[in-house]
Amino acid sequence: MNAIKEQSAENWNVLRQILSNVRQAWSDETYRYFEARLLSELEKEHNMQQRAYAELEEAIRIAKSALTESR
Amino acid sequence: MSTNQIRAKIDAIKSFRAALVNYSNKQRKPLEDANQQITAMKAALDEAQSRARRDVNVCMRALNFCRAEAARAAWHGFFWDCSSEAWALQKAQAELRRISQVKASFDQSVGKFRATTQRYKQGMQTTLPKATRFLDGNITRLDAYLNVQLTGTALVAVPLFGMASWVANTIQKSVGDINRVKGGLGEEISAQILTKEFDLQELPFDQAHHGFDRVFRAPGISLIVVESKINRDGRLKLGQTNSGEQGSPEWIAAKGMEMSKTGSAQWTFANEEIARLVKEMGPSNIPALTLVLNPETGLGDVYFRQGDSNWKVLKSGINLEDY
Repeated sequence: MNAIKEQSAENWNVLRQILSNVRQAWSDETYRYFEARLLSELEKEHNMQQRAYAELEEAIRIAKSALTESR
Repeated sequence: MSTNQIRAKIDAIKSFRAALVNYSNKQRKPLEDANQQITAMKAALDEAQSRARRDVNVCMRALNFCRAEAARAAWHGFFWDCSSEAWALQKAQAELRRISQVKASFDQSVGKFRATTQRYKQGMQTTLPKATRFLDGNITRLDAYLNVQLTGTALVAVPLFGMASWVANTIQKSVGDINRVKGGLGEEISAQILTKEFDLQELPFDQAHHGFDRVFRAPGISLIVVESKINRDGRLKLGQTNSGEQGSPEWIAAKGMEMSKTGSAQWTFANEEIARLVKEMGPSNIPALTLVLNPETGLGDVYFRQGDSNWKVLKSGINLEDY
């Protein structure tokens, strides 16, 4: 599960990297608008999902441990 | 600003747009992997619960048998000890309770995860198209400048948000060059016309090459497919593709199919929802509109498809200067 969270984080990091590479293509005003209105929204959604992966990871760890105990 | 600089900007924004769509596509994989792990864990817990339940039944039968024997023994004045069977049953029942609690707790966590994932998907369905639309607007403006070869001074004057009036001015100023201006301009004007004239509401959608231009909805109609054409003679000319004529039910069905396929260039969280609507409504029942914008006359016509390929004028002579 940790690999899944990392995979998702890696996808986001790649996107941020590409954005920083093309940053100069926009005027400051345009970039600020994009960052404030759209990128921040995407980041919020991404972070929310990352937390969900972490919680699921913990639930799977507990369940696996309980199954090991029962055997 | 030189044309090479403008081209470099366009390429940079296009590359980021592609990265954004790619990000959306790649985020599906972790979700699928998480679901696979959930399925595997649920199956393991189900199996453990079934095993614990079987153990309880076996212990129960053993205790019942022992008690029957004990009753017979008591009849003959003997004592028959069933304490080990009773203890085994208690142990098996405790294990079943424990596994059931673990399972319930896991199910609760999965429910929470799925609710968050649903919110995430809905967020991606709306935010991503907004972002790609914003980038498309940037690309369209720069493309337009490049094609009409406006000066660097005029470039600074471009409105950042909402460009319908600017587009109209561009058309007025550059009628001779408009056929070189990319389709994005026409689509933007078409979207404005449909919103203002017909009160249609644009749906979140990540436009891909060779797909729908725009998608809308209206009260009681979940999906309306829109094509936009800029044509100097003002005639309706739809492209013929391998999947049939643009706007035809076959074409809509094919595009819907492509958008539903994970891993295809057309798939995004938002487009998957559009594909679902195509399937739900049935391609033949989905209204298709085509707007033909004539840069020579500055007028636009709106056509709608009747039946499979019969296009009728819905409204003609729309003044593009109003947009």
